[in-house]
Amino acid sequence: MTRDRYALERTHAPHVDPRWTEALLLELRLQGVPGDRIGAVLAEVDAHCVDSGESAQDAFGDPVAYARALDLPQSPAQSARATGRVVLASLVQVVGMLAVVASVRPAVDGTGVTVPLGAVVGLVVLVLALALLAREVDRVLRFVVAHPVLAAAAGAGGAVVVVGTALLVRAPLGDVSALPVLVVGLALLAVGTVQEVRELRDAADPLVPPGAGGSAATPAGSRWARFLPALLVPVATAVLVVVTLVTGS
Amino acid sequence: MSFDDRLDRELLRGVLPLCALAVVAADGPTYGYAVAQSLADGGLGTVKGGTLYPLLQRLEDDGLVETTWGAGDRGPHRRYYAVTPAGRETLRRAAGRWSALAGAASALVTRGAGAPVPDPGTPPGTDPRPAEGATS
Repeated sequence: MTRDRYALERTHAPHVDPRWTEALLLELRLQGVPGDRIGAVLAEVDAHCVDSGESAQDAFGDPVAYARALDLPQSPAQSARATGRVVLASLVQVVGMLAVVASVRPAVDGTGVTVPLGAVVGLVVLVLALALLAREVDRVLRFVVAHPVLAAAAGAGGAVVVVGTALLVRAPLGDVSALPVLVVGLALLAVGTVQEVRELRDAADPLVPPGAGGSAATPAGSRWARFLPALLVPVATAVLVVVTLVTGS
Repeated sequence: MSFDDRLDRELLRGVLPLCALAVVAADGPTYGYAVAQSLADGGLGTVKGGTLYPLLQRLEDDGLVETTWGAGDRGPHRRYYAVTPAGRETLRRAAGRWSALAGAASALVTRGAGAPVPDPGTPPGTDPRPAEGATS
């Protein structure tokens, strides 16, 4: 498993300690520097180490400090704002999914949808949490990198609170007719998915070595794979709808 | 850090951007490690990659140098730096300001280093030089 861990580092800077390269790469990615410029930085570090015979640590010092000293511009597609838009698109998808799954059976049966208070509270908390995350995405990412265990615990804790609220507080908030909920849910799902596909298309920013002419061909596999996150929620919705319709009768 | 170390560091930091631009103008198109060698050969001592490349990046951001990529004589791709017309013009103007500053600083330092040690009895602010016609 560890055999390929530094494959990227060795490809772009074969004469540099891959752990040093990894730290530099991570900081530049966190800064949102475009992939072609990161490729150029790595190539230059590599050439300097070959020429001088020094290690990268000796010649360039701390990789994070070096990345900051370069002060490279951020790619628009890598900005915190763009990442925030991806998070919001996912949120719209999830709200759409919940609305569709909750309303499809009642819509078929011609009954109303009972909205439980806990689900609404949980949803509002989720929306606020994700909006905050989208706004502070840069700091959140740095925190996750610096304290992965703590970040995972915080995420799990938050999920327990949201899901727990939704499950435990079952007092009904009221009944609404199912068809409008279904239509709005489908619309949200469609809008969120289209938006996320567009964001993911713009966000593809592979590491490009210098001299590749800036038009390095993306492997066909990864071209498709990067849209998978956007399709996850619609596929899950379709599966849940089928399950609901088959088992619910 | 002692005064000497701090002074050396700050003097180098002050002159390095101008000297790097001058080296690129004289030697370019040239690459990073060759610039470092020229600076060392010129008497500025060892300039580490961690200092040099951010500085060259700044020069490029300011439009004073431009870069191209080419294959090195052995192996990896190298970024070559060349001065732009704007860089040459900036260097020409800076050369005059640098000469004026270096001359003024030299005069001050030389005057201070060559000044006589004041008599401990002399109150501060009074001219330690003997007054015209006074006997010592």
